[in-house]
Amino acid sequence: MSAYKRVAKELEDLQGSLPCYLRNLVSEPDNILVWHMLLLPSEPPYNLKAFNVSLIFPEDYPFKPPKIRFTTKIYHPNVEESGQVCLPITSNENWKPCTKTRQVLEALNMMVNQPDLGQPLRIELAEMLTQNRKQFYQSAQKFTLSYGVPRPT
Amino acid sequence: MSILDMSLHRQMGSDRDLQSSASSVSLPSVKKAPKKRRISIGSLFRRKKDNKRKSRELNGGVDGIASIESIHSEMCIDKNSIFSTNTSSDNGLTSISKQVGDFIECPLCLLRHSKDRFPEIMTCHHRSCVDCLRQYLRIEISESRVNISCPECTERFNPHDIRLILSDDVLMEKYEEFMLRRWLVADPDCRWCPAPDCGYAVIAFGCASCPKLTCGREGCGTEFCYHCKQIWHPNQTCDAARQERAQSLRLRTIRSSSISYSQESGAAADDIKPCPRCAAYIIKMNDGSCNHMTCAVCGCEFCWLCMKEISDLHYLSPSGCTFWGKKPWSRKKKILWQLGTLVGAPVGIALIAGIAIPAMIIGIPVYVGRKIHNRYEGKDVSKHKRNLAIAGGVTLSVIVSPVVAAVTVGIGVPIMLAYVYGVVPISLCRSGGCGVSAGNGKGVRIEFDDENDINVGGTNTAIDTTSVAEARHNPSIGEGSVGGLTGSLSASGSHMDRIGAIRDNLSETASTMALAGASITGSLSGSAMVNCFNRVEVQADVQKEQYSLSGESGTVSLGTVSDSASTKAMAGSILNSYIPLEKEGNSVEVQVDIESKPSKFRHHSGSSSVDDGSAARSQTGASSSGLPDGKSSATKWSKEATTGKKSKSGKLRKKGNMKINETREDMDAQLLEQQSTNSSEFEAPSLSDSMPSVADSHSSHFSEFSCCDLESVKTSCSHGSGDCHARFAPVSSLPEVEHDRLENSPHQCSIAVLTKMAPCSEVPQTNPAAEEHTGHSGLVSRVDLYYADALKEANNNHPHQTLDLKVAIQTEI
Repeated sequence: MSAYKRVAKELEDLQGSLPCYLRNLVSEPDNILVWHMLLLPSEPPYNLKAFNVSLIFPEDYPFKPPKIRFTTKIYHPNVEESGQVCLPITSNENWKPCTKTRQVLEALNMMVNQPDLGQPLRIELAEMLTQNRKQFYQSAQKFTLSYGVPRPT
Repeated sequence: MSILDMSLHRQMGSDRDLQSSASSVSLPSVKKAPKKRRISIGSLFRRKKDNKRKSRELNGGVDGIASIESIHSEMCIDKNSIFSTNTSSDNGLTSISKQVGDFIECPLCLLRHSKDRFPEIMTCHHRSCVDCLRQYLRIEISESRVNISCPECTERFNPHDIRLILSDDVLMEKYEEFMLRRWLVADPDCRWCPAPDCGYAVIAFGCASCPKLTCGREGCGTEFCYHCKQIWHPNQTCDAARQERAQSLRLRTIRSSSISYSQESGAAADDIKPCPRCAAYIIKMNDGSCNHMTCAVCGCEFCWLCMKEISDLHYLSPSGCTFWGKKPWSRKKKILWQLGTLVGAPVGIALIAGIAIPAMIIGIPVYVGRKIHNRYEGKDVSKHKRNLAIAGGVTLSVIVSPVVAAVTVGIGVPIMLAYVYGVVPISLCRSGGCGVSAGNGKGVRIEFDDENDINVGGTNTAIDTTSVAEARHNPSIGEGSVGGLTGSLSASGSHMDRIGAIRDNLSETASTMALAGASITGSLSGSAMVNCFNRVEVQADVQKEQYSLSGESGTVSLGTVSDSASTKAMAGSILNSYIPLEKEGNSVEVQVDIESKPSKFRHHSGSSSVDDGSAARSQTGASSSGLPDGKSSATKWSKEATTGKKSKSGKLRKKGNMKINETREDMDAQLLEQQSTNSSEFEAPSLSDSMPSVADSHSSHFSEFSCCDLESVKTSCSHGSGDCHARFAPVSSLPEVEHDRLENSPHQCSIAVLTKMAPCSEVPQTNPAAEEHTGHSGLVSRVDLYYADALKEANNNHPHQTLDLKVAIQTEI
């Protein structure tokens, strides 16, 4: 019960002052525990397009971390092909109930802009990024342009 | 004039005006101000009267201003004082809310509650509302997590706080149950009764030499073996008994419980596996999660594929296990890989060096010449000058390039060699996956670590020292990467990426073309550095933890003993021939240290049996050439390794005493089990003569003790009531029992604690024997046990255990 209240409050607070890298933050009409938003990274090559992200809060939030998922395909070492993301602050071991969703989104934005090569989910991409940056950027750009969602003005 | 008017207006104005002006500053403590104001205005009046003859306006004005300003400043001071009281409470709340009625926002539910709904927590200053805290604790306890920390920081909760907040006895019992279980699992001497329905455990001190244990639960009384934890098998070694049991099982054609269970639940047989340390069954859901598992009961980290305890470098070295793989490599593949690495490495290194040196010697002058040529292309300079410049440049580079090449090779090749022949074999063979020893190119033996080991014992130690020395002397290389690595060790991230990162570091620092080309060796050397550093860092970490555990008095002794132990380990004494064998199993290191300090540990009889056993062995070994013992032990251990015994690379970064004790428990058990399984497993023909004799003597030694000593202990118990109390005291009075142990002679077997381990759903009852002696203090003192202080006491009483642990962990990778 307290999960709904807290999620609702956080949504209201975030919608009131939306961070610059987010747009269209809404929850599902019949389920406030699922949010959808548009992520606008600032670093190349992801700054060419936008990405749909969904945030799923568990029933026993805030005692369990929310799950983050990219619904738009993205060529990123920390995002699996299925769209699943592993963010350190939302991992089961590191999650603290006092962490606010704003911090989570901030961390997500930072991770997209600066891939965390310490724990990649896609090893081949991480290796490419370390060894051959140019090639990575080229592939990422191509991928982003073809699969990314157009940015709102 | 205007000021005077203002002041006059003020005078004429009613108090209401004053009040309104005061409220515009929005302060509650307006009560003071008006009085002051009246006084000051009165004084203003008086002054005005006095100064009527002088330029009234100015003076009065000035006074008016002064008085108004003084009022203002007073009001400001008032304001500040209020705000300061507000900000002194660090709830992160605004001053307004505090004043409104002491309502604080809870950081978990983001709702405002009155201050009395926020319970006081001893360990930190964070406050959450009692409902949220209760729910938080409920969830944590139901998931059997006992290291519950504050929801906002990492400070662990005091169990008293938990009890107060929970106000739920059932849940509290569960919490204490889990705590007790964790603690017992960590205790190296804890043995669970193997009877099917019995949940009792026995803490057996020094029982390795007389391993017959009896369950203390009324109506159970099962006798079982300290070493293999199965039903008591007189006149048989543990292994023989195990074989017999397996045969009878097969004959009976009754499926083991695990298989039937897994089939009932529909899970495939390979989805349920027992934890390598505490044997708790673990199901892995096939949801794409990786193979790095952490047991929820004992916290041990292991690889799902090979079911061995691992460090994070398990996935780096070519052991066949990857993060997401489904099948471990077969033994053959593993050995092939490792052989290939060892054999191919010098070839590869030679090739690289052979190519790199001439390439550099020729290439650098050519490159320099070209560059100068290009630089002079555009310029309008005479040909002579250009040629002179080119010639000069080329000459210089011809002189410089061999130096550069030599330096590169001189640094790179030793690093790679040290890695391949020092660290890779250590990490690979320590993980128990192979029987290969570092032959140093002189010959690689599989599964028989006999002469080679011993012959190259000296050289291996040299390599070890060089590798460690290099690791110590080259802190700059890879230091950053290690820091990052160890930081991310806690997360179950991919390790391949670390290879990439390390490779980068290496290429930067070494800056060699030679290394750049060798991706494999580069990665190998990268992880070599990591291994070296990990070793060093591990040591440091463990030391830190040891200090925190054992308090001030313990640290000094630990430090000195450890130093001497490690230096002894590095020295070239005969005992150090055991060191190459450490690659087979960590237990070797344990043995070394115990042997090196037999006198010191004699009176710390905790692992007394180990002392004696190993001491005896070393003595017989010394008489007939200490090496055969080493060989046999190495062989044994490799056998044990191949039979799937765990390797103890415990995760040392974890907080808590449990971890360290757990690793030690396993090492102890393994060591002792291996001692008892000598005769049956030994295969090397040349040593068969010496080994069985030792083994036999040892096992007979065991059985002798089992018969006699236990009797003696029992009789002594019946006579000395004081002794008896000490021996049968509950877990909580462990320190007392420890004291007894310290005073006793090594061979005495004291079965100290009988505790019931009930299944989760049941409410545990304290041991009736315990209750006789301690009454209700049992529970309370148990709770105290959890607290760091009590644990410190307990650990203080057996510093030798922690020492062994520390030293053993030293070599873990």
